[in-house]
Amino acid sequence: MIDLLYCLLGWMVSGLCLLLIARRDPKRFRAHSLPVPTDQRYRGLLFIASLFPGVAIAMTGSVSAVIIWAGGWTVLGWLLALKRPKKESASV
Amino acid sequence: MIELSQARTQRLLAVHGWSGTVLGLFLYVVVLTGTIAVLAHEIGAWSAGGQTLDEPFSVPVDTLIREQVESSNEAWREEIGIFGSVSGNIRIWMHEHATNPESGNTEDYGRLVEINPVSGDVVNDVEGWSGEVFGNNPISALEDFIVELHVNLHLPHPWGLYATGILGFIMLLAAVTGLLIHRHLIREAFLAPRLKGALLTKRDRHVLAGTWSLVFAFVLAFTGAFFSFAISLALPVVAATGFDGDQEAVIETLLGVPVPEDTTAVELANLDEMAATVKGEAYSGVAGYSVSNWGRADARVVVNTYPAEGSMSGKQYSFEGATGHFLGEKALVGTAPSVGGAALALMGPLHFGSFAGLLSKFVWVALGIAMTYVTYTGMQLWVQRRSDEPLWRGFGHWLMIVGIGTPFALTLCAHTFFAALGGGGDAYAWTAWGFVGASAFALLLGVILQKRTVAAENLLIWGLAFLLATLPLTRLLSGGTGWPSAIQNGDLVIVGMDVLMLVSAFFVALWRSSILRKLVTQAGLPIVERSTAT
Amino acid sequence: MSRGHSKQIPLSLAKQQSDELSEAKRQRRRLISRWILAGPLAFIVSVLIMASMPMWMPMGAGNVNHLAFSVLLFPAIWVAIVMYVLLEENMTRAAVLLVILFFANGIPVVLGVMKMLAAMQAGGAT
Repeated sequence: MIDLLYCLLGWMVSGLCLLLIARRDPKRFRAHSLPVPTDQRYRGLLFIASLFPGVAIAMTGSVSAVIIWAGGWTVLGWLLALKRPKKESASV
Repeated sequence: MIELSQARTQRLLAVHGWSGTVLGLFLYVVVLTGTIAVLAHEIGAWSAGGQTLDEPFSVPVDTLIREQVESSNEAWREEIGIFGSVSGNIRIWMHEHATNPESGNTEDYGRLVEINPVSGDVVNDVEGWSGEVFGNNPISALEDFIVELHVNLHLPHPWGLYATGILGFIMLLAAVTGLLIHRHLIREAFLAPRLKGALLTKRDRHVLAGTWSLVFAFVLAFTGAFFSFAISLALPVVAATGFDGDQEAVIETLLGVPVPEDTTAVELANLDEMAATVKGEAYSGVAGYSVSNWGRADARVVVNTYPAEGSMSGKQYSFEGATGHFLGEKALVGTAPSVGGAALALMGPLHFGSFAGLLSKFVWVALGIAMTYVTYTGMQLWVQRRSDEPLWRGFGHWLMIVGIGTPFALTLCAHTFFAALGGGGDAYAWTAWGFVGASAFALLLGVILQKRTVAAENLLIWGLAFLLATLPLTRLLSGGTGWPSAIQNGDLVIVGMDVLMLVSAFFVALWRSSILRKLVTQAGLPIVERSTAT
Repeated sequence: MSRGHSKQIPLSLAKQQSDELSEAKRQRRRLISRWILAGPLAFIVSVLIMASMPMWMPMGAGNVNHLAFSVLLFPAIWVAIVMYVLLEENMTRAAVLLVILFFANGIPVVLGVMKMLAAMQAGGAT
């Protein structure tokens, strides 16, 4: 049960970070002929932050939770990027 | 990302595309069935119509097991494996090593008994070679069929393992070459598939899914290739050079068993007491026992446990059989804990995703869906690039037939499987014929509608949705456990699997039905747009 | 290691044609040798590396490291060799390297198998 809790919390934090990156990703908007978001700061930082839950879970010593979280992280990133951007989402 | 010369990139692209296309259809079948096989245990429990106990060794079992072993042939006390069954019962495999006159190999011969741990009733009792007694339980026919397709493509041993090993290698190679040929891995990591033309859409879809699933594609392909080749190729090869050809000796070294022989008759100590000792050490339940030389002074008992929360694999503890003296934790591989042993022990959990119950299984299924998608869209992309050539357009047609025909056939064979269980037919034969029949139907459809790919696609997709949606009904009509009694007995896996079928049917229908899509969009739920260009 | 493909100015049309012909032939030969090296030879060499590994790798505390790593690393070694051949421009060098690996690992393996056969014969005699 504690693994589930770790993973859910981790995915929430990671998902939020990845969503924020997607919302200010220039290529994503340019490719769909939408105005490119002006705010492109912290993208690298957000990416590192999306990986942070993995480190936090690792520090609790639960190897299984880290690996499950990592698997979920890759699926989350894919699903978040799969959705086409809309005009109004080009700002945070 | 990684700058390669143009010639090198083209070379890698050729290898990536050609190997992925020539063997891609087979890889697709292996990856798809692998995704389903993550839930093999759940499929087994669903087929069985419920489990006696979720953990069969959570109740006292010593008397039940002792009674069976001590009333059996004495020669079969050489090796006794005791483990849980899909129905939540206890299976006892008492056997000796003997030469099978048919194959000329040393194999296991003995008696396999399945007991209900609560009532003590014998549910099943068969004698024979391991190849005959295992893989013969009608309840496991569906589970076995899917796993066998994933592991061996139903080819004879060892060719099936070679085939899937090569496919694992191709997937590994595709992951590595894919990483090197994609120049904008990071820049395009959030690029939603563009709907500007079929080629661009297909390229974006394949690349996006490939980017995110790269790491686990590597992990799953590597561990998969390992499993195929470890048994079919590596074991004989390593045995030949390191152990004078003695494969038995290699396995003994890996398991780390040797005990000095002492044939004095001594009663085996109580298994339940050993289990009690183990529970205090492992923080998880007992998953099974293996006993060597039952009833002798040199008897050894190894108790296996489920993985404790936070760890990747279960543990093993060994006991002196005669005295019940606790010898402590035993390395899973080798005589003592080692880096190599730990690495080997990680292969299984990483490939099967079964280390943390349903949580890890769901994530592994999601990863499997991503891999299946990458394999399929990769082939679509390759065909689209060559859509001017009739031969490739033809391949595109058959790609679709196999792509949707395989899940269609797998679902139909689940129907025939349940029907056979209910009607008392040979479940193994019915499952296989269901699959063959549905595949033949899909191929025939492909021939008849050769020029009308979209019509054939629609038929197969709606057929798949229909078969998925009606599967719980077929299960019920064949005498399967109903929801009220399943919930009452706490067999939530039955309800869960039924719901999973209905949800899958919904998503398959959503893929095709514009009315459903409109309804979902009106409900304010997000939907990934379908490309208008095909 | 990209080798210069710059062609000299042809002296005559016939010479140019023969140059093109030999260039095409050379390309073809490179392609075929790459196929052989990355295909069957890479597989054989990686099997030999796996087979010879237990002979020199230390067993470690659990007596299994030499087995575990040879079996575990086999898919990785195979992919590494194939990738090397695909990325190498100089086919001669790739061929030489693979042949060296072939013999360096093959000879101990053959000796080991001969020892095994001898042991089996001795076992069969008793």
